[in-house]
Amino acid sequence: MYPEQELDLIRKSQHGDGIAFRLLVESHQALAYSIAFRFTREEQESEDIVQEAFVKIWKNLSKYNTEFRFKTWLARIVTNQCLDYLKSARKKSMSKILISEEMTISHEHKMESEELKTIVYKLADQLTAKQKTVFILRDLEMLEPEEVCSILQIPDGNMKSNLYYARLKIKEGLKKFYKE
Amino acid sequence: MRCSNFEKNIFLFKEASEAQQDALRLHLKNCKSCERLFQQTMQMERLVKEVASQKITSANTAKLTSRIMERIPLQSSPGWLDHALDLLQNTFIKTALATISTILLVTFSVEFFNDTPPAKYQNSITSGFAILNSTLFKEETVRQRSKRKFFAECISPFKSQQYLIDCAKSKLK
Repeated sequence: MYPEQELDLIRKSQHGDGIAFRLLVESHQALAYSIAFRFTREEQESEDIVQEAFVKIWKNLSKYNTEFRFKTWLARIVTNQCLDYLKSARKKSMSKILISEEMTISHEHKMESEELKTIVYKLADQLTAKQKTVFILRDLEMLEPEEVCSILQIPDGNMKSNLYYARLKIKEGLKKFYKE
Repeated sequence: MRCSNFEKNIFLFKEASEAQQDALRLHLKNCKSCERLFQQTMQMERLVKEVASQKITSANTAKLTSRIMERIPLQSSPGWLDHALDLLQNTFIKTALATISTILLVTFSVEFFNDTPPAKYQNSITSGFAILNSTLFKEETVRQRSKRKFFAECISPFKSQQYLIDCAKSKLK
């Protein structure tokens, strides 16, 4: 979608046009869901996060800053909701149990695509919240460094520092799969 | 330069500037341990890219859209009142409204407590209009009076309507 079209839909939505808002939802839902799922890896949780994010956007449409792309605004809201979700101690402890189980499985079997995915996500779970967020947005969602900084509202140096430590840890975790 | 100076740029190769990339490439030619680390990092990047390339989509995209849209009408769309309240949150508008209110209050107070009789006419234009209006009013009053006087004899509560018409006709003749 062109930025002008997007802005037109936002303006119409600001005036209560439900059809225009539906078009915005349809065109950006995939990104929101993808980010949410990479954080939570739970379908239901991801759908709830996406739903809440769009409702929040609808309520705050009048505050939309045209300096930023809609995509950036949405990604910021989704990321913040995912971080809130990660703060839950229950979810953290559940992830730790899963790591030990699946890492053992990977030792015994040939690494396949599904397994690689599981390992990468489990390694990401071991990162700090900031490192995980930067890693997901930059390396998994493949967003530009400027976009990541804008979404997280952090300076370039901070983003790079978190990305460096994230990649360092991920690299260590995948060591046994490297070919010499 | 030491290897430790290049380590960060090995991990942040894509994010590094062109000059930093060139310097690193030069260093890698002469440093086997850094070259090994670089190759491992590239392998890690490829593995991560493989994971990233697996598109994640909701199994119920249409259902999710409907669920979102169902929530929207419930949250009544921002009406004029919401916009007005939003506007009132603006500091500039708050200041402007406060200033206008003060000016109106001062103007009202000055007018209210002003005991001096109002100046008859502020300028020649208004006085000219007043004179013209009063002249016209006078002329109209005189005309009405003379008309009433002219027909005064005909008007009588004791006479019939027909008498009034006949009398008026004869007067006009």
